[in-house]
Amino acid sequence: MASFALGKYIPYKTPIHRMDPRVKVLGMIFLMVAVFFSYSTFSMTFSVMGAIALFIIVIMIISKTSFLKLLRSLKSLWFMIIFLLIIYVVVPKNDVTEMHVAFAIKGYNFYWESFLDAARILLRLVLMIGLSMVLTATTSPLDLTYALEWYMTPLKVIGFPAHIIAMTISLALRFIPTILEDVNRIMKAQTSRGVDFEHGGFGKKIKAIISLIIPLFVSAFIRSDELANAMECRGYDPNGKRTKYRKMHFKWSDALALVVVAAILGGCIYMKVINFDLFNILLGEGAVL
Amino acid sequence: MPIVFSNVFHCYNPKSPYSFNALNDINMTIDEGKFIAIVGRTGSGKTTLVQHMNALLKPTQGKVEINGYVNSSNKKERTKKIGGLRQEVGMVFQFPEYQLFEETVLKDVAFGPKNFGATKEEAEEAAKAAMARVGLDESFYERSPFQLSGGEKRKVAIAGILAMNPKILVVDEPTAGLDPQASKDTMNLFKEILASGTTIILVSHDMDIVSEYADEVIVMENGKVAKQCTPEELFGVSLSEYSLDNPHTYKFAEELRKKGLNIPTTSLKNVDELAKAIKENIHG
Ligand SMILES: Nc1ncnc2c1ncn2[C@@H]1O[C@H](COP(=O)(O)OP(=O)(O)OP(=O)(O)O)[C@@H](O)[C@H]1O
Ligand SMILES: [Mg+2]
Repeated sequence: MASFALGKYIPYKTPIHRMDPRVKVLGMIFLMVAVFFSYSTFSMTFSVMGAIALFIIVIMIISKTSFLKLLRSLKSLWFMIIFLLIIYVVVPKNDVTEMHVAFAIKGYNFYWESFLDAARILLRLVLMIGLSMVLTATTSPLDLTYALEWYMTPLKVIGFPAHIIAMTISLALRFIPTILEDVNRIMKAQTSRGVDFEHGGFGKKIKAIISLIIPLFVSAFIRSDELANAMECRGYDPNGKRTKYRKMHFKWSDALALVVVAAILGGCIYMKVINFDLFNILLGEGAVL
Repeated sequence: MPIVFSNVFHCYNPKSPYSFNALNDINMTIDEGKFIAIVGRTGSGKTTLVQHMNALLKPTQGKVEINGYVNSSNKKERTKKIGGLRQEVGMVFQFPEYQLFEETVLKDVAFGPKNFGATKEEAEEAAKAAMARVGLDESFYERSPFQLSGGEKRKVAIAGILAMNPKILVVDEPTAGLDPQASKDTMNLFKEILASGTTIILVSHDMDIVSEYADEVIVMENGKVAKQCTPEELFGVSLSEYSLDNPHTYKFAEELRKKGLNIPTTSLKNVDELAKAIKENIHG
């Protein structure tokens, strides 16, 4: 359970933690978009992604986000990664005139470009996970929902229930640690009755998981029922007008961060649109890769 | 088979801002065949301590030895197949009703023995015997565990552990939330189990229960064993520093002494003994 994919909020006091959550959400989206572009050539794509990766690494160091956790969450995705790689490398390409054969097995060609494609996807995945880890590790769930609610506020005009959605999200987030605790407790109780969650064949595994899932659902239903009652007892009205206990403050440093991230995105878009190729300019026309 | 703790430390979430030392250098021996009570304020580490006894938790430092099994922080020392320990040390949790999941009560109680290699028939046999011990009759066999009352669920959970026939039974606050009769029944059940040769380790806040049933008390304080002694030795000393209270019989006897009655205080285990002492004092 420790390797919960996106990691959870870790209350350090770093500049990244202190940033306005709205800026962090927007910044993450900007960087993710930048990561998703492909540029004129592979070398350009990898250089730009490398630069963004460097930027993300610096952010991770500042915010004390653990690289170990990033690796660990990749570990839990290894199956998907291998699958992706195989698909990319093996599936035949239709336009092979421009491609370079790496090697051939029994007359079937494997292209350098397929490997590069696969590497690009992998790098994207790592960067995306890294970015979302930074966001969730440095922003408390409550702040995160405040930020989301703020972005949804304009939609209120067309009758979109921004507050209710935000409340639902924050309740869901609020219950993640509780449910993890429940998982932990039920696993201990069933382990005491001889269940082995780690070893054993398929049938045993299924039985073990059933012995975990059912009590988990039961306790989740009991909890949600209790919570609903408690909220109603305290007069919660989903349609009521709300005030906030904590205000979000947009500071100069936030503006600066936003400008930096926007500049990165802007630069990326520009390079993409004009098909910018730095290597071509440096090495002269005709340089390959 | 004694349980021996040697220099046991336990840290939750090590190497993170949430890191917390729940056990600090525990050294103690728990003898077999006794009724042991573990007391101490909320958060003092009682649950953490007992979960080391069947290897649900691994020490971050030090080792626990239980009947040839070694639960150690050191991988080399640690018993490889530690699963068998869980059959020998049965553990009933603070809220055991959250572990029921089978369609019928009988199946749920038989779940433990089956996991430890009993056949279906043997497991059901053991389950029926265990249910009889906790006072659940045949009418419960086919009922769904989810439609029982809190107290009945608790009984089912206890039966589920008893069915595994453990040599040591660890119970974490088994009487919390039970009515007085049910909690009395539960405690008497543990007394019977003790008489059949099983070691009982009970985590409790209720000093009346401790005084009536326990042979030995372990007082936990800030992750350390503050005291290990008999109940008699414990009562009367300043218990309030451990957030503990003297049992009612002790307080009552103490008041009577102040009024001039010459009766013992710490050796009185329950109301019966108190009444006898008063009677002897008046008549004798
Ligand atoms: N999973 C966990 N993660 C982090 N800290 C924990 C965890 N479990 C317990 N703790 C902490 O360890 C300390 C000891 O907990 P423990 O459950 O052993 O106390 P206890 O004596 O059983 O208390 P109670 O009487 O309330 O049951 C507590 O301060 C608790 O906050
Ligand atoms: Mg406890």
